[in-house]
Amino acid sequence: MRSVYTCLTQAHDHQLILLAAGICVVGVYGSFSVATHAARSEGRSATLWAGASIVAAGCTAWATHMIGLLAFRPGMPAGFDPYLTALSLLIAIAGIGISVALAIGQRKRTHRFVIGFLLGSSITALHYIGAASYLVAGTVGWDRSLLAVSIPTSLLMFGVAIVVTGERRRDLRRIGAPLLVGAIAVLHFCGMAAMTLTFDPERSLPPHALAPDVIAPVVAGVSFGLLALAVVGLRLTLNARAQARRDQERLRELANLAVEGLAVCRDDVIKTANRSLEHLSGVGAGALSGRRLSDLLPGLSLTTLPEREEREAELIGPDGQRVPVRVLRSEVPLGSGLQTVLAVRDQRERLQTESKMRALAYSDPLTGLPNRAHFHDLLACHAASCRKQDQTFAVLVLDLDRFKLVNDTLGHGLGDALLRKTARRLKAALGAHDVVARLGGDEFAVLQKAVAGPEAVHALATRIVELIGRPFLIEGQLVNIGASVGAALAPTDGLEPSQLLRNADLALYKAKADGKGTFRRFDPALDARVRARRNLEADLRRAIAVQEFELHYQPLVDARTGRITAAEALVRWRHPERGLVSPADFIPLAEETGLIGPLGQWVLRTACTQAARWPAHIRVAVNLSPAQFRDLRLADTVKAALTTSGLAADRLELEITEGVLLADEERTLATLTRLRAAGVSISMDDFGTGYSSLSYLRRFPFDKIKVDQSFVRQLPGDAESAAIVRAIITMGTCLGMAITVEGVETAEQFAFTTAEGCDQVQGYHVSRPLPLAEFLSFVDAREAA
Amino acid sequence: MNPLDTPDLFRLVYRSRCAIAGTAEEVQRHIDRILTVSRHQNGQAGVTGALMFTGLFFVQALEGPTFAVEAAFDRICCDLRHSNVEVVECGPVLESAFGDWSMSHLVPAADSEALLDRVEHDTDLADAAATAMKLMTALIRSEQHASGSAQQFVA
Ligand SMILES: Cc1cc2nc3c(=O)[nH]c(=O)nc-3n(C[C@H](O)[C@H](O)[C@H](O)COP(=O)(O)O)c2cc1C
Repeated sequence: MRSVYTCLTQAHDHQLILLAAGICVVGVYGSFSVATHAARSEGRSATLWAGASIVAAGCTAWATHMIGLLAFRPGMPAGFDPYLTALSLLIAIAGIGISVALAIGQRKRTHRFVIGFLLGSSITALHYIGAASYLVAGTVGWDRSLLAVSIPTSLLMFGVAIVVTGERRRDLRRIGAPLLVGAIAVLHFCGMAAMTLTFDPERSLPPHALAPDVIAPVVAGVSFGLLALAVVGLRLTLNARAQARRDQERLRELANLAVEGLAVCRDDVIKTANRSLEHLSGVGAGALSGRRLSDLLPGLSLTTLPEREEREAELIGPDGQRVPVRVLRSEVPLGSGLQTVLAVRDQRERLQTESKMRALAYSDPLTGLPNRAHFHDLLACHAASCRKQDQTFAVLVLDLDRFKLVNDTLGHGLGDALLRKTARRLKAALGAHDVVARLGGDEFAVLQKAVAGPEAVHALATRIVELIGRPFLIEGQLVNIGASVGAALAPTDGLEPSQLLRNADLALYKAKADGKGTFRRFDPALDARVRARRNLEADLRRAIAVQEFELHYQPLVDARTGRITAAEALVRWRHPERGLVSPADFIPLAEETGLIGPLGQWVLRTACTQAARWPAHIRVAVNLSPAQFRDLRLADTVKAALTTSGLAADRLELEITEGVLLADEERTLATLTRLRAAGVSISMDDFGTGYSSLSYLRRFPFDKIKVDQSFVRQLPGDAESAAIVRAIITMGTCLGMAITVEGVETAEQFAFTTAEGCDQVQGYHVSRPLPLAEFLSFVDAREAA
Repeated sequence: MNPLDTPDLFRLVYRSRCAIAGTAEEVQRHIDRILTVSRHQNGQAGVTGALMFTGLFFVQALEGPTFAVEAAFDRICCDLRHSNVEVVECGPVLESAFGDWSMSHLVPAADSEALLDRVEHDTDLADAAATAMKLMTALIRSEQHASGSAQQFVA
């Protein structure tokens, strides 16, 4: 060890040693900065810069070594073998180049250690080949034991140095460079100390040996080159740094433009935040840097937050108010590595919009009351909770009497004002927990909660009727309306919301029917009637589908000859349980529900088809109801029935009542005209029972008038009836219309009508309505007679 | 007077049946409360008028801009302390007939019993109205002749 020390202090020129150290530092810096630049570059320039850095590293090692040798004062003439010197430089460059090439992307420690070992070996080779190139006028002796210790030690240090530089931990990585320098120092100085030079005057320097004075400029040249490279490296580094700064600045500007709040965090600490986030949390520029994230977003843990998944959180805003936000964590490569970036989105506006939309969806914009949908929800909710607690409550529905009139005559603006005022009065009528809603139009509903009994419902309804019955003053005009109220009390009148509403509705109909401005509670009898009607309707629908109907025919005979000239088709319902149902029991319902449409068509088609097989002089009469006339295609339907059945048009008679003409006269007359044009004859049925028959007779040229049976029933005893019948017959004759008298039941009646000159007779005296088969035999019998 | 100079003055007079249950004192306390609220609200809205209580019926006159009378009447018609509200008179007028108090409280004099009887019992509203108006205007005038508001029975 002492020899190492003396070697350092006495055998070396100190200034040159310092120079060697300087060149080493400059060279290392130069090679590293160029290598870094190579890493930043791409393609050919990357290879070029990488090559330059490897050459520079080799040169550094070599120059350092050479200056070290030049600094050596052996005290005897010395020179350098030019070939070995050159070889040592090449070995250094090659060794470093190979080691670096191998080291790229090496993760495994053993591999790295081997590479470090390789690097050490090339440096060692550089050193000892360099030493071999050092020629002196004397003999060179080696301290083998020192070599045996120092070479493996430095190789080990090389290996370890390369291993640690590839480590993840920063503190470990940091000791890589000093270890490397130490390895070189151990190698060099121990190597020098292990060498003993003995002067031998016998020995002279070989002739090819170059004097130090010759070698020194070469080394100086290389050193200068390294210096130049270091300057280039410095420039490159500075440029790169400026670029990085500019990039960062641009990134920050970009981040500030973002609407979302953004924060770059390390662990729980905010490193930087953009302006939006500063704004959101109500602090000045830069004030968030260094703050703890948990202070800003309490209850949010960055580590448990999954990446790229939005979470609801609350941010402490200005004055400590809590701002609802959504946060999103992502790991973003920024600058030198992955950074945690937290995006924070303000949810206030969205939540506000949502609640506004909810309010819009659930309330009536005109009155501000809950709408139908909301009322159903409230009712369902209350009904469910009451079922558990066995509580009573009531549903009241009401509509405004005369509202339509007011709305139509005074204008919608006034109607709207009236609805708003109504809403206000209804609220005044309610108890503290009751709810009133507008179902639509002038329909309102009330949910009366916690009802003590029917009296309480009655009291509320009375208040409503009273308040709505008061005059309204709107824009200087007095408007009087009223309210009819129907109510259903749960659980007595139903449990299900839909049932309660329906029952309250039934009660409301009853209230309106019983005179407006009144209140009715649901009554099961009401329900029974409605239910029976509904059952009948369903039954009728089914019957139409399965064709449970049949036609009976009542013959019409010529008053003079007694021959059958026509038959009226009359529909009968052969019900599987109730037997034959009279038309009086189902026709009105069919007309009300629109089922008359399909039923009427069936009657028409069937009558035509059956009549087509009768003797050609017998015509068929079919009744048409007003509802059938509402269908614009009636004329086409009739024509289609004629075509498919093959019945001649002049064998079909259509019977209509005054009711048909009452509805839409123009259209009805147009349809009748089309039918007539097709060859079908039209009869006026039940003549004498309406009010304006005579004017109709003038408007449309009927082919036939059927005198209503109510007149015939009194014949021939009742003088007035006789006069009327006589008058009708006269009038018909004058107008050119045939006259049929219906309901002729007795021989006297028959005699009277024929005597008065009536054309046709129909009634029990001739025959009751007969099923088809019986009718046909009846015809046969008559024809035969 | 040209129409532009005509102030928007609207008058509404109605009769209603008192629906306040309780002793005479309790009823009076309610009426006092109604008057306090009325004077406050009417004062703010620019409505003037008079309220007469006959012991069975209220007769009230409201005067002021059309919309303000409408708003006051809206409030009154939401009140369950009276019932059977019947409007006696309603329309624009040229000048106020019930003074410019936000709500005078008129107490019928003892000698007007016969008139009162007609206000209360006449089934013909027009007759009752005419009588009520006569009674009220008479009361208003007698108060205007007297000095100050001491006679106005400020409750
Ligand atoms: C007979 C009678 C007369 C009233 N007159 C007035 C009146 O002139 N002005 C008024 O603001 N309120 C009057 N009120 C009281 C209103 O009905 C209502 O209680 C009051 O204006 C408070 O309404 P608010 O709760 O909507 O603010 C009267 C009440 C009654 C029973």
